[in-house]
Amino acid sequence: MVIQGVIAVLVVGGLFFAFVSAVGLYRLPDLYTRAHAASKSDTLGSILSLSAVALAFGADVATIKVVMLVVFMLITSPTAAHAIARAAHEQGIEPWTRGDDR
Amino acid sequence: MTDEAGGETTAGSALVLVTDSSTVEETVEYAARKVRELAAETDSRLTLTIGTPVVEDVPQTETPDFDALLETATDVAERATTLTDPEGAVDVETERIYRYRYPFDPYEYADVVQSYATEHGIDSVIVDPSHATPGTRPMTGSIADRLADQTTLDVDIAPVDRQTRPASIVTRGGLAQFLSVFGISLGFYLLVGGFADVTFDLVTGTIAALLVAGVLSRVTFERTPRPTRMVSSVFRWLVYVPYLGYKILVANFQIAYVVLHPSLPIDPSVERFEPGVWGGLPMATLANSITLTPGTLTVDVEDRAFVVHSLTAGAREDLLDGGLERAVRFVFYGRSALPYPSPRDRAESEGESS
Repeated sequence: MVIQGVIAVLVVGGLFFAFVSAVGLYRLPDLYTRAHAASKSDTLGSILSLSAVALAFGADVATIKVVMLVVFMLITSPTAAHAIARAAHEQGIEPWTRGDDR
Repeated sequence: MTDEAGGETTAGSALVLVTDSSTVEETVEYAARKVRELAAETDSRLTLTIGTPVVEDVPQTETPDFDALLETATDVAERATTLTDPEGAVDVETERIYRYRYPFDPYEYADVVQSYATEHGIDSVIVDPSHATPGTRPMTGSIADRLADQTTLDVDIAPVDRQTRPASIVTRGGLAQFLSVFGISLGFYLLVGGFADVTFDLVTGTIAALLVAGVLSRVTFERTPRPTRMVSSVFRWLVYVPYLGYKILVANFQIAYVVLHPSLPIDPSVERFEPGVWGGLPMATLANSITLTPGTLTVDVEDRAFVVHSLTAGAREDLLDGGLERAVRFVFYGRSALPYPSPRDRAESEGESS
């Protein structure tokens, strides 16, 4: 029962951050700020959801695999965000600052 | 010759940069011969300065014995000059070209060499072709390229028989590396296989791990792996990951607040700072951790500086407080590396000194 509650909290948390990520992607003004929303909140959302999955599996080999998935997400997600931002930087795209039009 | 200018004439004096490489003696000998010829040509008294870099503040890097190196280089230079020049038209001097704060970075090194040369009236520099750059990858170009690009000096690469291979990729301790890669690969294989059919997995896993280790073991580690160091390193990672997770969680809530707030109170800007970690893996870890922490995004690494885009002022403060950087220093350099000025303090002291 307790575990199911924790799972529910984790899933809801994961959904919440996925939602934040989507809203951020929509609302933020430029590529750099959107990369923040798309990569980070989304990562936490996936991690929370995957943690819920791991808990649901319990002490199983599948749990180890899910944990490994989390680790790989932690490595690949910032790498991808960095690649996108760097590409933009090298193209000379200026970051949006306060005072610019949205 | 001695009448007119005596030991005062320094125009044409040269600097030879020596480092821990197998072609040191050849380089110094070449430099000595060159300066000697120049001295005979211009009929003046010249100085050959033998310079070594002093690499400070690089924890866990094996620093070459520069004292012994200087001694060898001086011997070679003196032998080379006195053999052809019994009158002694060439003075041999040694100098440690101090780098006061950061370790070896070709860009900064070029600056240091330039200012030393200006101060001492040196107009040409002789470089060992295998002069390496400890702590940084050779992707920024060789020392000679940097010196030629960045300084007004006459850069001459000593024509030595190149016996050395690029040292950064192939390291010693082949067996330890092979076994480590083999063990890690096999463990991963068994884990993914899920222990369903252990005999089958063991046989195929051993074959696969042997292949992986055979192909990749020579490029996997930067240093020779040692069991004690690996254990303490794994332990430090186990401390670091929850810390990072906590940071990610807290910062995510801040970002959620900002993003969902009706007026969208963001204040993005781009910061540039030199991280207090060196080498490929530590820098990549820090850069990735900065990107993982919401509100900050590593955009690029230019020379040695991270270009970080930050979403809010709070995230920026956090970054410059250097909590993450300190954690990464702990992972790679141990507890002794913890007391270290934050990026903000470093920027401030730099502002004062310049």
